[in-house]
Amino acid sequence: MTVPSPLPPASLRPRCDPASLPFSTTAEVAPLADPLGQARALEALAFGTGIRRDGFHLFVMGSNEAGRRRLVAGALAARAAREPVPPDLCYVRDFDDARHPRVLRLPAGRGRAFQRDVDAMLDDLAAAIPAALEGDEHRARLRAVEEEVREEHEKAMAALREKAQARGITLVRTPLGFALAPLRDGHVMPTEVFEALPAEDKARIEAAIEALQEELREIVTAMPRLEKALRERVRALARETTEAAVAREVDETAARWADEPAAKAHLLAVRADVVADPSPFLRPAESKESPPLFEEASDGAVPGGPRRRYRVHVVVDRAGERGAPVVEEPHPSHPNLVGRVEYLAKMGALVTDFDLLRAGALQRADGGYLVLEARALLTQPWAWEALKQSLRARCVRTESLGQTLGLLHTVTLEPEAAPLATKVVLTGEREVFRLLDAYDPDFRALFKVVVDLDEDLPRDGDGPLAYARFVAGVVVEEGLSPFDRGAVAAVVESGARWAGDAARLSARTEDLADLLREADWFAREAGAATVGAAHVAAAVAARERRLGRVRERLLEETLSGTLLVETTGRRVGTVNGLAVLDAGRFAFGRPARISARVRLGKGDVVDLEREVDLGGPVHSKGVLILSAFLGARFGADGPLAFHGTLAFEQSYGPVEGDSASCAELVALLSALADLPVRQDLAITGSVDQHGAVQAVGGVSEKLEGFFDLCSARGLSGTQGALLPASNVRHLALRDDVVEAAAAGRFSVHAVATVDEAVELLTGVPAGVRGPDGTWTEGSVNARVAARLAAFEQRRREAARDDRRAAGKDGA
Amino acid sequence: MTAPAPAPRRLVVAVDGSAASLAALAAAVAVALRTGARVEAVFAEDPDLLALAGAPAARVVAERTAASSRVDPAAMARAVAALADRVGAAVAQAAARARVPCAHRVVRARPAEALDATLQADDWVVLGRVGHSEAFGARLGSTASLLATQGRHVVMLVGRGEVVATPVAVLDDGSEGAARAVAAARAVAGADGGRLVVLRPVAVAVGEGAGPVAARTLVAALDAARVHGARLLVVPAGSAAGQEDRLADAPCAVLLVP
Repeated sequence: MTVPSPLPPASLRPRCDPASLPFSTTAEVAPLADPLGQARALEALAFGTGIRRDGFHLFVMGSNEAGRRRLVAGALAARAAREPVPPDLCYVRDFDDARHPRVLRLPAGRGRAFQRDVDAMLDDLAAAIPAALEGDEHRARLRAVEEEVREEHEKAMAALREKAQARGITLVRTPLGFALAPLRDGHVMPTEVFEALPAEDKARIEAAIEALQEELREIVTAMPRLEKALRERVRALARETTEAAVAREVDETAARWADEPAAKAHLLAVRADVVADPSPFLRPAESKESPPLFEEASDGAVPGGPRRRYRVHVVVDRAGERGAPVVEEPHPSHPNLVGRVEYLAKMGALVTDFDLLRAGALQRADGGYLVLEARALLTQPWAWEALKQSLRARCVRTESLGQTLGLLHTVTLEPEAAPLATKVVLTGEREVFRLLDAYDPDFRALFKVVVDLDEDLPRDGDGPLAYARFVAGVVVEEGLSPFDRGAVAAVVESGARWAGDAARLSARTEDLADLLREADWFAREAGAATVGAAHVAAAVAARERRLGRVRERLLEETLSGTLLVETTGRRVGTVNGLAVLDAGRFAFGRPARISARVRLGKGDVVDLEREVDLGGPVHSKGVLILSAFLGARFGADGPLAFHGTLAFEQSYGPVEGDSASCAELVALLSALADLPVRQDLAITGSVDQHGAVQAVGGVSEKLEGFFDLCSARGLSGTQGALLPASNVRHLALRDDVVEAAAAGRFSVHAVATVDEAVELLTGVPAGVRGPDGTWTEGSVNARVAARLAAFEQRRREAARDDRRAAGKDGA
Repeated sequence: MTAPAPAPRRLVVAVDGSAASLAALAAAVAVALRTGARVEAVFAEDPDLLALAGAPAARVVAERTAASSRVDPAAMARAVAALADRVGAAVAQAAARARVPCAHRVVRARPAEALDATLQADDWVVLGRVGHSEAFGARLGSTASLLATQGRHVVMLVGRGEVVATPVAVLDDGSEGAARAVAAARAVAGADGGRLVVLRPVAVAVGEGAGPVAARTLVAALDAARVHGARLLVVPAGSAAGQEDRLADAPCAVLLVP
């Protein structure tokens, strides 16, 4: 087997040749019109925003929140600008049921105009109605009616009194009522005189009083009817007078709104209500008493006083807007979504009315687009449910959470639901999307359009040029200094490094824009008119320096010998593995010592990390895979009589991933073969059951971590690192690593099988199995097989000894 | 007869519990506030009512329910006493609210007799234009008519719902009592004297008798008071002599000054 040669420097960091860029500086480059590398997402956005069918709302997913928002905002703004402005949303009182304010929709910008017209009309009514009802004419007519009714009653009483007097009977009003009594000489007849009268006279008097009493009762009985008739006539008179005053003002306003049926209908309703009860326009003393709680919400606090019942409450005013609305609600709580009913404290009670309704994001986004961050939405109580209900019903019902949950038992408003024709754009991470898709059946029905943001774009073809145009866009947008072609090439190489793939470029535009801003700062500090490659490199280095405290501390601990990692010599059962640590915004590699020990046993390999619950499931799987490899390669003819243990030395935290499984296998093979492993080499890669080495993540950072340690101790020229062959295309190493490789002071080897790795690391051929099942003599595999055979022999001897001992005991 | 002082020292109000009499009480308090006079309310326990209650054939019909029954003298006495109490309470309330010294006395006599027994020379008497007889269509009660006709005291007649305030109109017809009427009007107008409207007849038709002229003058004064929105019309008593019935149509309270 041929041991892989070190990779050429060109493979370690594919360069972006500045000369390949067709410009001197970005000042000559047209800025990118569309978001970088998001053609698929833009196509999905165009489809999702264009289709007007139920349930075709959008979920935009990607790992970068700022990138999602930027992409969505840009796409929606362009589309919304071409669409019509939706109507204003107003609420007016339902005069038949104050608890249910009615929706009134008017063309954009006309809501306020209607409100002003109605207010002016109310002012006119406030002058016209009292003038009419308190004017001489109405008063005279009122008095005439009252006089007429009163006279009718008084005439009847006067006639009865005359009739009584003619019969010698007095009729007077007393505190007990109207009294009838016989008269004598102008005064009430004394008892003794009455008693002295002849019986027939007394009977005649009593009969006369009896008859008069009946007539009196009839008159008195008729009085309530007369009073009722009087009230009705007074009301009719007031209605007639009010009607004349109101009709003039209302009809004039209604004529101006003849082209808006809803507005006209409201005006006619106002007219009917005012005619039925003009008291809100009269002086307080003449107003009706104790109106319902709604109506009196806050006459003192809200302009309009008692006349507020007729006002127009503009909930969403679109005056001056252009295009359809694009509403982004950063705090999508339940009330911020569906709106709320506010209350005012009045005399110790909370009161409300239709003009205390406040619009939520849904109402504001009606006819346009509503952008919500999924995680923020889902963490707000009942907000997600409210959104789904509104989208299903295609209307927004403004109600408090208390109402929704049935916890509010006081009287409150139940406004008419406002029609809803908005396109909702949810943005979020892929994990959130997957959770919603898996656990909420409504989600799939409502959010049918998935916009999946690409995290990177191909480097070949127009990739670098697209980067240049992106840079040009940021330069123009943020007033940065132009970037020369070298700087752009450096940005492209950084993009490749962030993509973790030399053949691709990162599409995380926010990170890229930050790099541009930082490079611009370095250029300005240096007094440069344009940003060059050195400024980009300085920005990258400064960023790593700023974030590199943990990396430096670990390196110091390793150099001081606190953390044991050898970079020279050889050691049996010990391999330098490579790990990646994620310190938030910065990931870096560090070497880790992986050790293996073997002894006689039953063929099991123990992962010590797993034993103490520090090993994650993927790591454990890796260990089980290498056990399976060993079993298949060396235990086909019998059991493996060994017990192996694997450990990440000086690791005190969780270990996850299988990228060390190849290193672990090499350590085990080294221990079994009793062959020392080179400590000036490190290895990363996972291994399958057949011994093939598989790609892992973060190879550049891992290799750089080992390079940094070697470099700090002084590069010997033999040091290097092994990585899976399938990872070579992901390499985007730092310049200093590439330079060391070019100078032959550090090497990078790509391995495809564990045999290649073990051969490189031990310096001993791995060996091949011959037709007779034996391995190449002196090879690593032959040594392993011999050691395992020795273990098996020892196991048999031990078993025999045990049986003998048992026989003796039995005898 | 001694000419009355231009401002009263005491206002005697006849209060029988009717709406007009309660308006008279309020008017008296209002005048007292402006003039510094004290108020004495008189409630007359009419012996005729008590006698009526004792009459064997008497019947009473309740005003609201039209229920008829024989009259129980004790019930009538209690009702009259209760009415007196209510009047007393109204007087006390008016006094407290306006901070005007008010007294209340109950006199067992017919109303006119009760007033006659109470009134002193310089007293002004205030009473409703019509009391309980309004129910029978009367426009000017018998007591009001009697006092207006007698011309012995300054008499203020107040209708139901009328409030005495400025502007005060006064008829200065050059008659004997006109100067006193103007002085009384000024006293009532008080600090708002600027809102005193003096009404003077512009011409007297030749050949007409005193009666028709006086009648036309009084009618003109009543119309002028209406036009000016007067809340009190002050008239020399002599100018209204024999035409007391016209006072029933006054648009506001009327003060007759002898």
